[in-house]
Amino acid sequence: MKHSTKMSAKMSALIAGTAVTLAGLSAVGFVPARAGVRHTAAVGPKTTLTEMDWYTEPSQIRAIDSIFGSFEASHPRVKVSRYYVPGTSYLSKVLQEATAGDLPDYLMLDNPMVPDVAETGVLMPIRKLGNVNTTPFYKGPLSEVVYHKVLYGLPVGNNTIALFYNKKMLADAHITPPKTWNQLVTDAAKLTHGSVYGFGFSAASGSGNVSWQSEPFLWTDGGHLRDPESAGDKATLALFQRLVKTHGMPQAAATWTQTDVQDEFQEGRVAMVINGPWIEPELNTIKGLSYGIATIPVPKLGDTLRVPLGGETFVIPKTNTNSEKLAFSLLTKMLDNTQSAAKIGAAFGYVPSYAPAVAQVVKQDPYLKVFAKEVATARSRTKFLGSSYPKVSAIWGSAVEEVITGQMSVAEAAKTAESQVQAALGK
Amino acid sequence: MTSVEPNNPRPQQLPALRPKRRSRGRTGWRRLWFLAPLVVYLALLFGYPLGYSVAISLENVNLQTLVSGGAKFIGLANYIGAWRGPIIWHTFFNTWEFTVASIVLQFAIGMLLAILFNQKFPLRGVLRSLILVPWLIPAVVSGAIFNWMFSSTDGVVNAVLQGLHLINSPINWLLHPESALWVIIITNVWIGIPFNMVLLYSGLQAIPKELYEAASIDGATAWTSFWKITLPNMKAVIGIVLMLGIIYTLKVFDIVMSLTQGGPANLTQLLSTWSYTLSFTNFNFGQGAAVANGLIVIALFFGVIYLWFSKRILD
Repeated sequence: MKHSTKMSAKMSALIAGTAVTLAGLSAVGFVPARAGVRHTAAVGPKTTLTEMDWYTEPSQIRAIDSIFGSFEASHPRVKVSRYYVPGTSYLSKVLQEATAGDLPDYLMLDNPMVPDVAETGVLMPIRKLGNVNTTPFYKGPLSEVVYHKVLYGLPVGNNTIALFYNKKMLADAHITPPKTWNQLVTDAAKLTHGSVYGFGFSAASGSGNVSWQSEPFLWTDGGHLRDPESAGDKATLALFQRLVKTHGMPQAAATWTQTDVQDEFQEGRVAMVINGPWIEPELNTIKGLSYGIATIPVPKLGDTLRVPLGGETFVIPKTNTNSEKLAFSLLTKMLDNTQSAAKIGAAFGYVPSYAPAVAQVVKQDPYLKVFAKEVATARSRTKFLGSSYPKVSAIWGSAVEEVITGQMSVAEAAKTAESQVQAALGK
Repeated sequence: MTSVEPNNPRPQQLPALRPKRRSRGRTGWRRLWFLAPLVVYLALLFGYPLGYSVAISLENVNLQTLVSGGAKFIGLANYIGAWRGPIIWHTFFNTWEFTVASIVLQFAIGMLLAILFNQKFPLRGVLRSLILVPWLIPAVVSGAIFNWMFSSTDGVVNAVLQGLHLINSPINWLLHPESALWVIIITNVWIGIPFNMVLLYSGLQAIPKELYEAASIDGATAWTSFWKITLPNMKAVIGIVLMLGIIYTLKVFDIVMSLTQGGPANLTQLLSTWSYTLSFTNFNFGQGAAVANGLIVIALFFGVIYLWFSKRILD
């Protein structure tokens, strides 16, 4: 008797110990802990409009504060209070609050999150709140906030990726930035010597790396993430294979994150890389580095470049009529006019999604010129896949890595990915 | 008559039992109340999450049903879906290789260091505290440091190997699945050595010195003392070290995320990271839970072995 009590105590301690160490792994860890104190709200007769975003740069916060400030000035009975949530836990925080019915009145969402959140039915179709003139917006960026033909918000502005090149290395090799895929392959091979490689991009696993970095190639050639055995997809895989086989690109690219790629470029170990405008401030601090930015090479001259869009959006969660209306006027004041769209663009280092504001921003920050050109024909990442984007793009990413690391031929990688996509989409 | 009595002792014992039972009615229940805090604690913090994890593993939980409710019961479909196909089995064997290699190396090195620090020598205290450093560093930081050390372009590992002319050109440690898994194992071993060393060291300290003195008088060599005195006396500690080591190793997550993120092409996924990927990249919470629950079953399996071991060997 005594013994068996001891046993069961041990057993329960053991189960507990196992549970505490493992429970965090299941989805459990994150489901609704109530969102917190934000709706302490209405102090006196004033209405508080709650807002949530993930911005950390002082210049970004200054721009947001100043726009909120002028909104408050024109709405004396309204106070906008801003809440910051770090990017790594942003989506799970939004989902927690959505589950608890406790979303803020005015919500920032990264553009690929929009379909996920819209699908859950917690967002307000903004056309029900008033008139929005969407004509001045670029088509790609605008499609980020459209889900099943319903408009849920407006884009803040966009960044994307382009070809950064080391001017000195290209000049030494007597070449100009490549415009086509064939030029990219031959130029990369020419620029490779010793421990310096001609070309590199981030092909590491994980979101923000391999799939979005390879999309400009895939999409420009008419391929689709959801259809890995299509001609465009295979041609893209074949391009990466050629780059590796001719030593223009190191296999290690399959382990490089975007930051690694930036390091390789800054240290002069890679002559041309794919990266975004956010590395510009740091590149300028590197002594002796003279670099240029060019559009990403296309399959053949004249093809329309389709780059994926980065950048956030603002949406309006379903709350109550009064708050929704107020949030709507804040939204249009913030993003639906040249003055504040340009202000945000300049402060964020973004190409405004609001086309009339672009010229002003590019004039102030000339390095955005190439990106502005690309955004005009860019594509929203979730355009075709909606909420299936994350899992399908991860499958495509694996195919790219299998080809770069030489584990599979182009045909094998495409075939494997195709069957995985079919399974993931439940066909 | 005298031979019957010892064979039939029951009538005499029954009256003795009864009062006991009655006392259980009053103070016995009162005693049980003292268990209540523990029971509530276990039920809330372990029972509920575990139950929830099992529940969602039986439903088609995705983003939409997670937020708006209405996930359907789909029986074992998540388990069948999650445990089918090449990735999960590759991941399973990765987890196996990772756990076995980590435990063997951590334990062996930890034991050697524990024996070393059990000797008296100058600076022993300082060195022993320095050995603890890996344990104090967040695993994500350790992962980042090892990532940098094993970098193919400017990593110190390649630089040293090239400096010693052991290799001609840099090796892409994180590129090839097998070497990448070994980088993960080495990082985990480095982190786990202090844990093993500290527990084993305290086990060594608890062995009475007289045993060794007696053995040496009997002419035992150091080797014989180790096998005949040290190991048998440390059974309990070794059991706990291995048991905790296995559970800690099975759940390792952050090291993989900071070193390879499961890549290239999902070939360095462990069950823990794959469960996370299914849940939070693919938003397939049901399958993610199905994988996590598989991991719990594996950990429990080792737990049962440990209980059996402690009952048979230690008691």
